Amino acid sequence: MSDNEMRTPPCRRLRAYTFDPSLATQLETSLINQTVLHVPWEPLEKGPVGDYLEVIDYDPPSGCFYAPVDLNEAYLLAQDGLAPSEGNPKFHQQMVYGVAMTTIQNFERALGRKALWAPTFERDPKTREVTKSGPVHRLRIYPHALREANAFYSPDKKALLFGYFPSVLANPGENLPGGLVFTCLSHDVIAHETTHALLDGLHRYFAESSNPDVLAFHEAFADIVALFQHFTQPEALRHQIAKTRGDLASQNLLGELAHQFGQAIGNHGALRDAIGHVNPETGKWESQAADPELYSATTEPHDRGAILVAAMFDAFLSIYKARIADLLRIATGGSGVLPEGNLHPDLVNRLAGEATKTAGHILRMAIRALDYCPPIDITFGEYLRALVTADSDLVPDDRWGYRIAVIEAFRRRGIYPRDVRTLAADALRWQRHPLPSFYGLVHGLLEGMLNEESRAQRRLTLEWQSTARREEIGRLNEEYKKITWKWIKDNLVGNPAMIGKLGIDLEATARPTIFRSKFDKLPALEVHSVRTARRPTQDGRTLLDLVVELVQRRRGYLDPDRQAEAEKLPADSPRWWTDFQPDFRFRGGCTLLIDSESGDVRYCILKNITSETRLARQREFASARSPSLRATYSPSAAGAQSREPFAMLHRSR
Amino acid sequence: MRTRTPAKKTAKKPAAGKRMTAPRSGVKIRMYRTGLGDCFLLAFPKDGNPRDPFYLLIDCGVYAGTPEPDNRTRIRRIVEDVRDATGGHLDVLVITHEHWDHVSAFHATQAQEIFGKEIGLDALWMAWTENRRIPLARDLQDGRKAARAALRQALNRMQGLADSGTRELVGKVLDFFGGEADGSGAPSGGLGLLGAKKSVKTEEAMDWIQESYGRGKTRYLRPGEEPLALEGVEDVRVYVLGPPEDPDLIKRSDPTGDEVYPKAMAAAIEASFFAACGIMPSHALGPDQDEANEAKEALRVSLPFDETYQIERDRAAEADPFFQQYFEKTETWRQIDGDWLEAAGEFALQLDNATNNTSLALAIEIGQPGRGKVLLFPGDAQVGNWRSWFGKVKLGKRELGREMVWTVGERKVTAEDLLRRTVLYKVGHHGSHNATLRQQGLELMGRSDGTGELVAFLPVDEHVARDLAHYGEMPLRSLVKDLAIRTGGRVVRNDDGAKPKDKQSTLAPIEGAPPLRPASEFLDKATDLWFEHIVAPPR
Repeated sequence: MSDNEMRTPPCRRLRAYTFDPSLATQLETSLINQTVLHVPWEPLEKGPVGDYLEVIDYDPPSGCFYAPVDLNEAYLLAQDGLAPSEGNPKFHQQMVYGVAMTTIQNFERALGRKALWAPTFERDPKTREVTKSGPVHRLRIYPHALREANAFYSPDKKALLFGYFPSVLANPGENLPGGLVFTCLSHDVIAHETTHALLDGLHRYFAESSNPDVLAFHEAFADIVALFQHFTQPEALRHQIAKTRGDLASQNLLGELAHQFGQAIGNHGALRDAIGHVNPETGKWESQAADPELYSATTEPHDRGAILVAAMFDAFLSIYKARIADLLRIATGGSGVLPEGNLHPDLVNRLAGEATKTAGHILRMAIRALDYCPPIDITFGEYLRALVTADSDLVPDDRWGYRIAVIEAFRRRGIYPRDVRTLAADALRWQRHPLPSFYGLVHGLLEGMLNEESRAQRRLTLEWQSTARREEIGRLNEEYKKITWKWIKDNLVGNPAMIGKLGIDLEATARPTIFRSKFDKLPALEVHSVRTARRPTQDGRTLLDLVVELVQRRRGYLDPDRQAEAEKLPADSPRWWTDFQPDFRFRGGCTLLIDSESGDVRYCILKNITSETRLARQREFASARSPSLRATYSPSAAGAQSREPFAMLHRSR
Repeated sequence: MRTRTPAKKTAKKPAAGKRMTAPRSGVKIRMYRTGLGDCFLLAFPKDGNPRDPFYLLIDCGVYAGTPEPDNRTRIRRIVEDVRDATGGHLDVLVITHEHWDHVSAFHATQAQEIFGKEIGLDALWMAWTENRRIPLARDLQDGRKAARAALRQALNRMQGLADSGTRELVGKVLDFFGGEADGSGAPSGGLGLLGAKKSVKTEEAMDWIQESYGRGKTRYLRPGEEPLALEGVEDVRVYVLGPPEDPDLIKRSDPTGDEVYPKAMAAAIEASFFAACGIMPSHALGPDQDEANEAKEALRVSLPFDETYQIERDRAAEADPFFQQYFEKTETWRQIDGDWLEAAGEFALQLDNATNNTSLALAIEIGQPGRGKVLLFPGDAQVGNWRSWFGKVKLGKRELGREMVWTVGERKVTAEDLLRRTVLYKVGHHGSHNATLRQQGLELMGRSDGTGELVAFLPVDEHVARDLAHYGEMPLRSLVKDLAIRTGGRVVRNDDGAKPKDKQSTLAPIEGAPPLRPASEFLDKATDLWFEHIVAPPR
C-alpha cells in the first residue's frame, strides 16, 4: 500500500443518542434515537483525551472514579464506538466527547480558525481581580460531577460539570420511575454547555452582567447553537416531517420539535415555551405569536434569552418555507393540498434536506456574527447588527432573504439597536469608520515574529490558522497581543482624535476613574484578543481578517454624586484603594476588523469608555437588581454568582 | 384556662412595683429588646381590671451568634423582667416556630429554669405543624430533621475545600437552630459521618416547652379556625392566619413562580443528594441504628452505576495511572470535589424557608368584631404562608390552600380586611426579604402619607445582623423605607440607641422616607430593656 492510501481518516465515527435516552424506550422513537456522529479525526488517548478535550470521569458524590474509555481499541473502531447505554459510564464518556467535538467543529468552520479556551486566571482572593493568566490547552469534562438537575460550564475551572438525578414523573411513560437522568447523555445539554465554554473562549466579558441582555445572550446563544445543531441531524427531522398530514405549509411540526427541545433542555436552556406551546384543549401544538412588548418587560436572563432564541427560530422557519415552496408545488400539483396517506419518502428526504441545510446556514450565521460583536456589554440589538454585517460580508447576494428574515423576526419581538434610524439591512450594517490604516500593525505583527523566530516562521504566521497546532496558536496569540499593545502605545498615544474613535483613552489626562497601569501610570489597556478569521465568501474569495479587541476598565459608583467626586480625584490617589473602592466595573473598548492585507479597518465596533450615558445605564441596572434570598443570608454566598455564574443561573431557576 | 396555676413555691417572689399594668380598655404591647430575636408581652385588662391583666407572651429568644453580655445574660434579665411584670404568671404562651431566635430562652443553657420554677403557665399555643399526631406535621418535621442532618454532613465535607460562601450560608441556616445539642458545634469525628442524627438545641428547647412546660396545656392552632377568645377579656379575639395546611405552600419560598419539577421529583433529587451525604431520609431517624453502616447503605442504593464500575477515590491513582492527573499539584484548581456540595446552599435555603413558613401567624383584634383595630404577629412567615391567609393560592392550573373567611357575629372577616385595620405590625423575620409582602401586605396597612395610626415593631439589631452575623440585607433597606413611609416614621427598632427621652432616633435617616420618630413621641414608655405601646379600642 502506498503512503497515499494510508492517510489519516477524515473522521472518527461514534455512536450516540440522537436526543437523550428517554426516547429510546418508546417504540415509536426508538429507531431514530441512535445516530452516528462524524467527529474530526485526532489522535486520542484514553479518557478520551484529545487536542481539545479531556474527559475525566470522577463522581465526587459517590466517592469514586469510572475507568476511561479507549476509543482506539480495535473493536470500538470497527463498530463506531460503544453502543448507546445508560448503564455503562464508558459510553457516557464517548457521547459527551462526540457531541462536544461536533460543537467545536461547527464553531471552527464558521469562524475560520481553531477554537481556543479562555485562559486560566489567578485571582486576587479579595478583589477577584486577575493577577496572572496562562493558556488552557484542553477543556475538561466531568460527566458525573453533581447530584442535581444541573450541568454547567465553570469559567474558573475551564470545565464542564454534568449532573445526574433521579426521575420520578407524574406520568412515568417516558422515564422509568426511579430511573436516573444523566445530563451528559442529552445531546442538547452537551451542545449547550460546550457552547458556553466556546463563547467564553471568544468573549470572556460576556459573563459579566453589565446590562440585562448580557447573561441572557450567553444562555440564548448556547441554546441557538444547541437547537440548530439538533436540527442539522437528518434522523430527527425526517421522522418529524414524515408525520405530516394535510397542510404541509404549516410549520408546526418543526416548531413542535423545537418545543420538545426546549422541554428536554428544561432547566439548562432559555427556550422552554417561547416558540409555542401545546394547546391543552386541542392537544395540538400552536406557535406563539411574537409579542413586541415582551422584550422590554422581561428581565430574567432565561426568559429574556428565550426571546432571542425564538427570533432566530422564526427566521429559520421563514427561510425554510421559502426554500421548500417549489417542492410543495411539485408534490401537490400546485394545489397546496396533499393527497391522503404517507408522504413519499423521497419528498420527506428532500424536505429534511432543505431543513438541515437551512439549519446549518443559520447556525453558521449565528456563530460568525461573534467576530462582529463588541468585546463587552453585548446587547441583542448589537448582535442583530453583527449578524447582518457578517452575513453581508460573506454572502453579498442574499438570494433567500436570510438577512431580511432575521431582521423581520427581531423586529417582531421589539429587538432593535439603540442607535439606528431604520431597520433596513443597510442601516443595520456596522458603518465603516474613517480610521487611518493599521497597516503598521499588520506589518508589525509579521516583523515582530520575524525578529525573534526564523524566517520560516513567516509562512507559519500567515497560515497558522489551518496548519499549526493549537498549543502553538495559543502561544502566538499571546505574542500578537503584546505586539499589538506596543504598537498602539507607540503609534496612537498622543493622537487623541484617533484614540477617541476606538472608544478608549490612553492619555495621562484621561478620567481618573479609568484604571491605570502599574508600570507607566498611564491608563491601562488590555489587548483582549488578536485573532485571524479566514472565511470563504459566496463569490469565491477568501476573507482574511484580523480581529482585534481592545478593552479598558473604569470605576463605577452606584451614587452619581460619588462618581462625580471620584472623577475629581487624582489618578494616583491612594483613596482608590480605601474609601473609593468602586461599586461596579465599567468597561469600554472596541472590536476592530482589520483587512490583513491592506491594514484598513473595515469595522470598528465601539463601546466608549467615556460614555456617560452608558455608564448611567449600567448604574441603573446595577442598582435595580433585586436582592435575593441568598443575599439576605450571606453577601459572599451571593458572590458565588460571580465565581460560577452559569451554575447559579441554572440552580436558581 | 380554667384554673390558674400558681408559681411554684420555691420561686423567688416577683419584685414588687415592676408589674405591667394593662390599659382600661385595649391592650399594652411590650417589645423586649432581645436584639436580633423576638419577645413580645401583651397585657389585656381582665374583667375590666387593669391591675390584674391577662398576660400573653409571644416567643422569647435571641440569635445564637450574639456576643455576651447581650446573649444569655440579657435574656435572663428579660425573663426575670417578664416574671416581675406578670407577677410570675402567664395566661398564654405563644410559640411561633422552631427557630433559636424565637425560643432560645426556653433552653437549659439560657433561662429555662426561670420559666419552669418562677413563671406559671395556663396555656400554650402552637401551630398545628408542631403536633406530631398529625401525619403531615410529622412528615414536615422529619423532613426538616433529615435536611438538618444532611446539611450538617455537607458542611463537614466542605471542610478543607475551596470556599464559595455556600459553607457560610449553610452554617447560618443551621445557626438558626442554635447549633448542636452537645454545644461543641464542632464537626464530628474523623469519619465525618457521626453525629448526623444528633438533635440541635432548638429541638431541645421545643421539646421542653411541649413536653414539660406546656404539658397538658397545649393547644395546636389551625388556620381559619374560629377566632379565639381570651378568658375574661372583653372584645378581643385572635384570628389564626397561618401556617397553611398545604405542604406545597410551606415548602415553597415563592408560590407564584412556575414549577421546575413535579413535587415527587424534587423530593427524589433531594433524597439522592442526601444519600450522598450519608442520610437516608426514609429512616434517618431510627435512633439505634449504626450510623456509619446506614450511611454506607444510603450511598450504596443511590449509586448511578453497577458497583463493578467503581474505582474508589483514594485508590484511583494507584489503580490506573490515568487518574493521577486529577491529583497533580498543578491541577488542583480544576478539582471538583466540592462543587456538588454547592447544591447544599439551595437545600439550606429551602429548609430555612420551610421552617419559617411553619410560623404561627396571628391577628389580634381589639374592639367590635369585624370593626376593631388589629395587631399583626406573623412570626417569620414567608411568602407561601403569608399568601395563604387570603384564601386559595393559584399555582399554574392548581389551587393550593383553602378559602379563608371568618364569620364573627354577623360580619364576615377576611385577611385583607384585617390587614387594612392593622395598627401594629410585628415585622416578619427581622425585616428581611420575602417576609413582608407588598401588595398583599404592607400596602394594605397604614397610609401612603403616613397619617394613620400604624406602628411597626421591628425586632432587629442591624449591627449584629450585618457586622457580626454577616447577613446581607437584614433589615432590607427598601423595606425599612417603606415601613417608614406607611407609618409616618413610627418604626420601633431594638437597636435604636436613643435614650428613652431623646428627641431623635439614632438610626440613620433613609432617603425618600420620613425620618424615624423618637420612641418617646408616640410610645407609651421605653427603657433600655423594652418598648411599650398602648392600642386603645376604636371609639
